[in-house]
Amino acid sequence: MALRFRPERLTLGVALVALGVATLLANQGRLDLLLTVRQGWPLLLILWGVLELALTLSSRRSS
Amino acid sequence: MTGPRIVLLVGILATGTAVETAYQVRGHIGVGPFGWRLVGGKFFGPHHAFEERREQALEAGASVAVENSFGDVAVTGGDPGRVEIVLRKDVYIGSEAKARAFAERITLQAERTRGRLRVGTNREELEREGDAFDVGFETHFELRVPPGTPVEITGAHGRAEVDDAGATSIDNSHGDVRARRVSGARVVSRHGNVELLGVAGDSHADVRHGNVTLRDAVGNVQVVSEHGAVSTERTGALAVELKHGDLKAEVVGGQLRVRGEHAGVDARKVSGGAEVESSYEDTSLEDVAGEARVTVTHGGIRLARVSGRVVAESSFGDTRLEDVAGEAVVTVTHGGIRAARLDSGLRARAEGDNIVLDGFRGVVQAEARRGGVHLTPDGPLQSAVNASASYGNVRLRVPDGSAFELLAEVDRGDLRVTLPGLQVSERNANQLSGRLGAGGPRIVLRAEQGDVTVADSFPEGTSRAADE
Repeated sequence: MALRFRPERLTLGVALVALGVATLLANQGRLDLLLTVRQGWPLLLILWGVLELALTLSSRRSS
Repeated sequence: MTGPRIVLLVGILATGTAVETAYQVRGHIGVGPFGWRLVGGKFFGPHHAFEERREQALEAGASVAVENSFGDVAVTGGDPGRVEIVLRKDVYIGSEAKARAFAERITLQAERTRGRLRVGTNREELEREGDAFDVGFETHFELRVPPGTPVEITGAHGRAEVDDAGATSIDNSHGDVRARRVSGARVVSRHGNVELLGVAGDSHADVRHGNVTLRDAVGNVQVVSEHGAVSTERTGALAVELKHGDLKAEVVGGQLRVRGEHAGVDARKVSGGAEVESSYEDTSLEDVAGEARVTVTHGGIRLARVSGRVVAESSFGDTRLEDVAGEAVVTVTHGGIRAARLDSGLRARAEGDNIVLDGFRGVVQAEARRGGVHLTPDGPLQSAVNASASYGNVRLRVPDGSAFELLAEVDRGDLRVTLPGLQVSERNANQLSGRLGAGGPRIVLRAEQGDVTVADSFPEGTSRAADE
C-alpha cells in the first residue's frame, strides 16, 4: 500500500538533511553554521508552502 | 490544520527565533582576552587572504617601527637602501567578494618621520566604523630591511620575529617572540615564549608568562621572568630576576647574578663570580672562576669547582661543597654540610644535621647544633681546627706527619684519643690536652652531648658518617 504524500514530512526530511550537511561543512571549517542556519531557515517555510500548494492543485485536477 | 503540522510550524519558527537570538548575542560573550578564541567569535570560521606590497627607500641609519594588533610580524635583513613590505590581510567573512571588498578598506600605512619609518595599518580607524567592528581581520607583516637597521615592533596578538637586523626592540602581548643575529635586543612579552639567538650587543628580556631561551648573546644579559623557565647558553655577564621558574645557565662570560623566588638555579662554567639568592628550590653552581655567594631559603645548595671564596647560606636543605679553592663560609639551618676537597679551610655552622669534611686544608671552624662534626684532613694537619657539637659526636682523623697542640673536651660523652706519639699534659674523664710532634697549630674539639674521638685511623664503617 503506497503512503500518502505529506508535505510536512518532506519538509522535515529536507530540514534534517540540510542541517546535517551544514553541520558537517561547519565542522570542516568551510562555513559558519550559525550564519548559514540564520540565513537559510526561512527556506523551509517556503518549501513547505510550495509543496502544500502543489498538493492542493493536484487534488483539484484529479477531482 | 492537523496536529503534526502545527507542531512542525511551531518548531521551525522556534528554531528560527533561537538562531536569530544566538546570532545577535555572539561576539558579545567572552572569557578574558582569549574569549574570541574560546567561543569562536569574529576570528573564527571561513576567511580569505589578500596581499598588498610596497617598497620604500630608507636612508642608512634610519630605523623601522612596526605596530600591529592582530597578526604576525616578521622582519628580515634584505638589500641596502630600501624596505620591502608585504601585508597579508586575513578577513573572516565567508563570501570572498565581501571579504575582498573589506580587505580593500584595510590600508598599509608607511610614514617616514625623523629618521624612522613607521609601518602599520588603519585598523583603529576601521574599527571605529560600525560595520567593521564586527568583522574579524588579521594583518600579517613581512618586511625586508637594510642590513643592520634598528627595528622596533609593538604587537598585541601574534608572533614577532626579527632576523639579521640592528638593535631590536619588541613589545608583545600574546605571541611568541624571536630575534636572531641582531646587534642588540630588548624584549617585553606578556604571554609567549621568547628566543634570543645570536645577539652581538646587550640583551634585555622582561617576560611575564613564557619561557626564555638565550644563546650566543655575547653582551651583558638581563632577564626578568615570572612563571616560566629561563635557559641561557654562551652569554656575557648574566643578571636574572625570576619568580616561579627555574634558571639553567651554561657558559656565562662574566658575573652571574640571580634573584629568585620559588626558583631553582643550575649554572655551569661561570667565568666571573656568582651571586645567587633564591627560595624553595635548590641551587647548583659548577666551575665558577670567582667568588660564589649563595643564599637559599627552603632549599639546598651544591657548589663544585669554585676558584674563589664561597659564602653559602641555606635552610631546610643541605649545602654540599666540592673542590673549593678559596675560603668557605657556610651557614645552614635545618640541614647539614658536606664538603670535599677544600683548599683554604672552612667556617661552618649547621643546625639540624652533621658537618662532614672529607679532605681539607687550612683553618677550620665548625659548629654543629643537633648534629656532629666529622673531619678528615687532606694531609698532615698544619692549621688550626676548632670543632664543636651540641648533640652529636666530634671525630678527627689525624694523618701521619701532623704536629699540633690538642685540647679535647666532653660534657656528657666519652673522650677517646688514640694517637701514637701524643704527649699528654693533662687528662681526666672530660678533658685531654697534649702535644703531637713539635706542636704548632691549636686543635680544639668539644662535644656537649656526644663523644670526641681523635685517631690516626677509623675502622671501616665507623668513619665520618657514623652519626648519620
